[in-house]
Amino acid sequence: MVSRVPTGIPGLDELIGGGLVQKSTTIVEGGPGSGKSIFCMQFLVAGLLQGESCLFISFEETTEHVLQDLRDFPWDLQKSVDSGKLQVTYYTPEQVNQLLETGGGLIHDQLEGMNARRLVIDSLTAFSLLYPRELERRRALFSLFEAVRRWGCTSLMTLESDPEREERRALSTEFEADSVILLYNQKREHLRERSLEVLKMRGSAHTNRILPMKITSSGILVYPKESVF
Amino acid sequence: MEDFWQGQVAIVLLVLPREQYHERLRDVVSAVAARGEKVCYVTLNRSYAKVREEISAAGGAVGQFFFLDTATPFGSRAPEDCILVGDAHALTELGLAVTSAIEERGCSIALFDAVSTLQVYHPANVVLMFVHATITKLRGHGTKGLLIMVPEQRDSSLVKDVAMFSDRVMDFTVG
Repeated sequence: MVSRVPTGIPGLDELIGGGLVQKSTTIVEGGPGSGKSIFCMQFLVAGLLQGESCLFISFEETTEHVLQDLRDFPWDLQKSVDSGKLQVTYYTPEQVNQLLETGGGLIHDQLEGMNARRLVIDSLTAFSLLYPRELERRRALFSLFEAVRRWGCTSLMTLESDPEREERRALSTEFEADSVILLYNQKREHLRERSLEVLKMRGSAHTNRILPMKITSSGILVYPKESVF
Repeated sequence: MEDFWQGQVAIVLLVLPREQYHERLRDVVSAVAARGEKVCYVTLNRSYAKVREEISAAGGAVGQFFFLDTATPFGSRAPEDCILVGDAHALTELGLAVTSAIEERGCSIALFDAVSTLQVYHPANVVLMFVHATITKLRGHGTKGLLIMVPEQRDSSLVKDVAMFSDRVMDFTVG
């Protein structure tokens, strides 16, 4: 039987067989302001609540900025950081590239040292910008995915894209990941409505419906019984 | 309507003539208020404050009403007995608000004033999908629904389509 890791997103787990497959890699994809970072941190908070250690690697923002951006949610992240259960580490994409060339040892040591079960990498977009050529980019992303799998955590990786574009094509990263979750913030006349889609989830029967989603003061909520119009 | 109040008929479509819309609506609201049940009043045309005032002026117990308001601009302060949906474009949000009114506020009747208004904001097929999903939701929760429509507001074929999903149609435009 496959072990599942609860996402911490109310309404989502019941749609994906109880949670993410343990040690799987999931891309959380969406446009700016779609809630990717919130989704990922909420996933880590669910782990912290179960006593797990968690690592958030940011390629874009410093540790202070990451914590500052999420300060309005009732998660008391600073407390978890102070206790050592949560580490928020800023690496420049160049640093990560160097790490990968040497087998990703430093991150591996960090994960092992804290016995982390959950990992977030925010974002693949920043990482891939290091490689202007498609072939190099694919190789680098492949190396990153290989390393993440080796590290053995249940991992989320954010990816900036516009899932609403009609000509949207599958990105090579989507083939590498075990699961892909799309976050929409769709424009309807003069307002926007949020929704979520599970595009792919290896090893799990999952819903094909696009579901309403909200970002509330306590985090992201998904409404499995509701419809998007 | 006795079988409606008793719950044997769950969804009633009330087709009101445009020229008597306010008078007929007042009668409907008075009848609903007299039952003493918790009512989810979905106001798509007028602000919550205006509807509330009218119910109160007619001697209705406003305390038994919970309002979903798409007419008051978003950003206004939401009162305790109302969810400001903010815009009739936001059908998804309105659907979530209906669920909240039923599940969290314990409303046993939902009154939609008026379904026809949605056609100003959405194509008929989208309105129909919303109405169908809402009726399914009401039935699933054992909540009674009163859907008010004013024909010729754009396309009366919507009335026929909504009638198909309803248990009973009361058409006040004929006879």
